[in-house]
Amino acid sequence: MKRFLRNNNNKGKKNRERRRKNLNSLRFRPNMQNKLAFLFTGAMLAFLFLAVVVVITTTQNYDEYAVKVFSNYNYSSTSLTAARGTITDRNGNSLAISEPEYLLIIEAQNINDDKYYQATIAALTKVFGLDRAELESFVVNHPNSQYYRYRESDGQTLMIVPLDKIEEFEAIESAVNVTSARRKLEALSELFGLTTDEVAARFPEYARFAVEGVWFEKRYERVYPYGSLACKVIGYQSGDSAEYSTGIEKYYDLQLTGVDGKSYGYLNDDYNLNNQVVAPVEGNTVVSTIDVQIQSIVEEKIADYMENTGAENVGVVVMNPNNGEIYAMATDTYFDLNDPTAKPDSYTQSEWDSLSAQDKSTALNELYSNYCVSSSFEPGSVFKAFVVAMAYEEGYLNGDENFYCGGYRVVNGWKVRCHNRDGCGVLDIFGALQNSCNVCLMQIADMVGKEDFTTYFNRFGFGKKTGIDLPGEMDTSALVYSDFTTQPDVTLACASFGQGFNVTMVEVCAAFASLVNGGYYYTPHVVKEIQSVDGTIVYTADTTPQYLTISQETCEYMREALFAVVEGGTAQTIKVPGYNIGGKTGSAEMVINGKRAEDEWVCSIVTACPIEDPEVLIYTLIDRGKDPENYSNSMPAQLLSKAIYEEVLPYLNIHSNLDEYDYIVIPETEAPVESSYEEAAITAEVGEVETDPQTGLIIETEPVETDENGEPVSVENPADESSEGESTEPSPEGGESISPEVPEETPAALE
Amino acid sequence: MDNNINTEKMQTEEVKEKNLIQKIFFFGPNTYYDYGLVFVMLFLVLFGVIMVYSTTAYSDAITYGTPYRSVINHAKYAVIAVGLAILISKFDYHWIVRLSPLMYLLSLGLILYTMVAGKTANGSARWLYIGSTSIQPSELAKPSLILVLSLYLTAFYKTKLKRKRDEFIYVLIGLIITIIPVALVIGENLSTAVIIGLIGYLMCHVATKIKYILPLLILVGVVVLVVLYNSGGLEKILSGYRWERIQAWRHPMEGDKKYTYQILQGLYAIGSGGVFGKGLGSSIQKLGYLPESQNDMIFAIICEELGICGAFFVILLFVLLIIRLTFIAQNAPDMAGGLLVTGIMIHMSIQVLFNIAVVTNVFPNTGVTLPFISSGGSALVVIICEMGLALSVSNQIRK
Repeated sequence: MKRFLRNNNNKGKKNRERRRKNLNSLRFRPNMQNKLAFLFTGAMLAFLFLAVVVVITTTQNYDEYAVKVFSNYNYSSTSLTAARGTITDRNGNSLAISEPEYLLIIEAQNINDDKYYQATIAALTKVFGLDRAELESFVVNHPNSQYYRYRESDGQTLMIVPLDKIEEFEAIESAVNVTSARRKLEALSELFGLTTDEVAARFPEYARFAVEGVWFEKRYERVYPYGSLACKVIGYQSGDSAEYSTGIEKYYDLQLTGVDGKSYGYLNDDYNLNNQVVAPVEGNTVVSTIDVQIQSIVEEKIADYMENTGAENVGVVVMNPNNGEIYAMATDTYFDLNDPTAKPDSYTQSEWDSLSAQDKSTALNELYSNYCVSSSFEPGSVFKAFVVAMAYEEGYLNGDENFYCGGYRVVNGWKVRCHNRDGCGVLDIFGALQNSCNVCLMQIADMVGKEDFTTYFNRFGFGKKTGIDLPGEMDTSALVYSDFTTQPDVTLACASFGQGFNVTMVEVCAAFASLVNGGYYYTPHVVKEIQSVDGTIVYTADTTPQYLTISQETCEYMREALFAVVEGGTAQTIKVPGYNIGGKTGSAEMVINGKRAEDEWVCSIVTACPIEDPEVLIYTLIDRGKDPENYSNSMPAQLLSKAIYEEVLPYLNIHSNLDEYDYIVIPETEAPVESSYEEAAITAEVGEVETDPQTGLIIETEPVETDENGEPVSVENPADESSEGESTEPSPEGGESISPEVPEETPAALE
Repeated sequence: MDNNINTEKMQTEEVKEKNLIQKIFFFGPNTYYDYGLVFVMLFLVLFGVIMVYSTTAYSDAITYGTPYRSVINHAKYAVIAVGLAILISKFDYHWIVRLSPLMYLLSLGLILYTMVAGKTANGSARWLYIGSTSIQPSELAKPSLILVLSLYLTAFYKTKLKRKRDEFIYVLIGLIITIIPVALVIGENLSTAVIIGLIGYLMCHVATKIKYILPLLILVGVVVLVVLYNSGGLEKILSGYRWERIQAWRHPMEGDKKYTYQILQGLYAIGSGGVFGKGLGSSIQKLGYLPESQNDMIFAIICEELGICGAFFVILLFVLLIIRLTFIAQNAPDMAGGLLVTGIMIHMSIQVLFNIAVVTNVFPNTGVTLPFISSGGSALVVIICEMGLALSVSNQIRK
């Protein structure tokens, strides 16, 4: 026992010794180091795994979770709507403005508080005359609503409150929301229409009352003071998206759109809640080149014409030929810019109501489209002026050539007729234009040749967009021949009198302006400049010429020629006493379903005044005019132009020169032409007159039925029924006789 | 004469004192000091202060009228703890190891005391209030266990085994030392209990010569858990809210909102951060939507504000820290130091891994703080002091 104890003691002593030794000298064992290394590896792998989890959580759910978090963030910031910029005409008259209006916003959540309920409801009903039961039921039934645009009783129309009522409401608000109990009581008694004692008796807790949870949202309404005036140019602004807007409103949407401001709460560096307002910036002011006066004159005249005669389409462009600014642009259809979705006049109410939503929108889009830029047509004889210009410019003509017209010309075996079936006889160049003789022009085009014709065709800008600053300009590149050298002669022949290709009104305007202004091609435009709110000009329309089309000399010649057309040619109707107008008429039979439609004509006249130094250019087009006597000639268009000129010229301060008429007196030209107009056939020697011996004038064998050959056939002589001449033999002597079948009444007389 | 005697006496006392200081503080001749660890630790502590400010400023401003309240409290603890850690790092850790049984018993006592008298926070009695400051005794249990185990496992280490049974007894006693605090804590704080248990268990595993005990037991544990879960036994064993938390973990989208709310908001925070985050200070979730955002959930706010980049940065810092700790343990001058740092490294790894795993919903939701970064007094002080211990070990590494 004793030994055991001693042993034990000894053992214990030994153990204690060993433990001390262990503690002081035992090394960290290699197997421990290994296990530690394993643990370390495990920890690293776990970290790697978690890092991957973080990446997956973020990348897979970023969108969803970001939205969730943002929806937590009901620390609302309010958007302050910026006013849209104004559109003015060239003289500063407002065409489109944004007028502020105020919506009533109800925060039912706040109003539901007992402290605010009575006073707020009372103030709202008192000032704005709201239906109390309606208001209370909304507030009580929407305890969590923080934003509600209050509506009229019909539940649809947003309630718009006038500014003076808002001021009245704010006056009550500030009277009630005072700390002084006495003043509060007075304000409440006035608000509730009770005596102070009654208020105190009915609402014992009145001292805490306040008006809360009501505010007014400012927004802007687009107003067009002139209603439908210049509707095609200004366009309307769709509230939804610029995509649905039209006109300037669409084209200059970015400039017109202001920068919205906002009001938001944020925590500053000291974590105090601050309210910050970033003021909205109003959109830029767009100054249009449109002149309200000229535009109204034009629209009035078109309306007169439509009332008296009528047509499928009427388009008028009034332009400054010296810089491309468009003074007026109008068609025969209108819509009210302030109510663009209203029923168009062409529909009766019952018709309109029966249309489906889609049909309605199609009809409206048709109404919105601007014929002057978005539709194309064959220019007809208007184009002859350009052919003469290019021939003169390139030296193929020097001004004293004479041509013989026997009524038709055979090209590629096709017999292409002049509108004058009897033939115009011998004509000089002015005479060719004055009579608008197809045969002469075919000969001139032949002299020019396909190559130069193509060059000038492109140079005058036909077949490409002018770049006018309006949406929806038609691209006519697919409707013209890009290269006449690859086309048969007959294509060129037809093109010489403006058939076989399509153009838009603005293309003709821009090209014609260059004919009379000295050869400068300007991009037509409807916006002159853009100003920021503070008046700084941020954009000015480019009024430098794009390039030169013809030389000054050719231009002078063309002015004389075009003047001659008005003075003694097809455009005599347009004459305005005291003014020298120069221009060219044109009419073309429409191609409908690949076939010349006999009674469907597009007639137009493009003129500039005063021709010696043009200040205004008017292009008037009547598509399928309903005048039974003049549906195929440009008389109605001339009369319309004339009516416009008569009022526009004085307005533009272009002086009448009745007394001081000293421009181009061309007695030697005018007199012979006048005479030759009747006598040419008699006086001219057939052999002498023929400038081109190859040109055979032949007897028409018989009129063959129209068209299985497509283009060339369909673009044949407008005055003819596209007779084919393939089987006819060229006859060596020219001008034998006219085709007997052609009825004399064929309506082509004037051109 | 008297004077002479007195001065002599004083001189001897001085010598004695010097010796004592020399004994306690270690100023060895060829001392190494792991500045890498110091740097990483300080970086993490500073980053923590910034993040705590970012997460608490708004709610503090709303509640207390000043945005600095929480961050000042946090920074105060951080400064005290770093000072303490530097002091500890200059101690000879052998002394601390020798004194550890006292500390161990003290922590056990405090846990018991808290169970009886502790105030209830978050539904569990974990906090002990001394004046105005609250401490969590279970936090103290972690370093105590690490210290006491490194003492036990070293002192009773047998270089030569006479009987295999002795080794089992050696491990078993180690595990018993571990089980006692685990058993005391588990009722109130499962996550801390699991962490304490794992620390002790893994330290025993590192110390023993038996190779396969760890993988085997882990495997058994997982199998048992899976079987229990599938048979429904786990539902009976776990108290109500724990079972609900497991359900919320399994089905965060459809579970009871009371339990899934925090998980979901945490995930939303992580997910909404993107690659570079919303920017420091720009978290939305911290504005009162994510509970405990400055505490257990701070990693989610880091992800939201600094994105994947910020999360990777934090993970990288912890990886560096663990690399330093592993390095110190591998090069420790003796077994006691090696095991001590091993314990600290295990503690650090588990705590960080658990926290990130909870925030990313890899683990069920339990309250584990992110070392250095989460706001909180006792946990911060304890973890920084542990770094001091590791530095103390590093200080005795011979060059």
